[in-house]
Amino acid sequence: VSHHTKLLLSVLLDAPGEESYGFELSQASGLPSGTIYPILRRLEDRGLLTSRWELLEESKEGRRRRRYYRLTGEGDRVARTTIAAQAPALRLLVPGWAS
Amino acid sequence: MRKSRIGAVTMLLVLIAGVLVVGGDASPTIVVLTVLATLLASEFDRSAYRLALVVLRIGACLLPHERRSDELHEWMDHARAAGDHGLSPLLVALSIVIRAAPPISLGVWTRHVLDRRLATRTWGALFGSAWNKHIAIYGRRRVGFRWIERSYVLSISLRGDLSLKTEAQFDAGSRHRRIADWVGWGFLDTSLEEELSRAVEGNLRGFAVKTEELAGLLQNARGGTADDETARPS
Repeated sequence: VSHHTKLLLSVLLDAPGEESYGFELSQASGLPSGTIYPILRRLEDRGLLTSRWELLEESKEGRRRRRYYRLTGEGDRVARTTIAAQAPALRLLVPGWAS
Repeated sequence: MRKSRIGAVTMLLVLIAGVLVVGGDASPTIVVLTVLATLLASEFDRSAYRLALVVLRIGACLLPHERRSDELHEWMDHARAAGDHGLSPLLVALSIVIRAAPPISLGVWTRHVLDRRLATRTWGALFGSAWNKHIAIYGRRRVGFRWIERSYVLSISLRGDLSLKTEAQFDAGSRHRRIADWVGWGFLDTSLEEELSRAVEGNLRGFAVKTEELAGLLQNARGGTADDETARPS
């Protein structure tokens, strides 16, 4: 698991069970826009993440639909295992990362 | 999150300052070129978001057609958030196109190729197994297609380990087992039979395993072997 993936997993673990969209995750993890999507795709392909498109009338809401991501049960377990060993370093790197 | 047009204003101020500094020594060509450059910069600044979208659309062309629209939709969020003017949206777009599009594209195409390989091996295995059964039933010497059978079993294992996570895929696993029954897995030798059992277990992983179903399958496999022994010519 790469360092960037760990960062992303740590952000997803911050709000277990909650959904986040790509831009939000990018902002929270501090990962550049170009880096985050390949990681999300990889995690999704491995069954660690699930995603769904928001049901929304774009014209009515005045914004684009979002694709929300959430850790699966397996993803949550893998993320916790992976992050546990990295906790001290991630606490320094990710703003507001406390667990 | 729209940014002000500070880029264009800054450039205008720089132009005015430049003209003041150079004063009367500036040649008409330099002045005209500077004005043109400023106009171009201003135009670029004004349409940076649109340029970013063009860059993203070009980048999305790297992806397979069915993934293009979804990915582009997500990428646009980033360009929009970077603002309408200045270099930011363009840099974000370039970052996505250079860093995100190629790996995603590579991943999708790799899976596509692997799927095709798997499909080829599956059909090869089906053909080989059916041919084996035909040979055995009609009393001719059994032609060895064990490598094909083995690759089929391995392909089932692979699917079980990597992707059989959903109910639908579980059904696909059942289909494999039905096909396996149909083409006569009874001809497999003991080691392959064990391999098949492990593969089936792999397919069932992640679900509430119906043990009686698995036991039935193994029983069938063993029964098939016995039948085939009787059917096999002496």
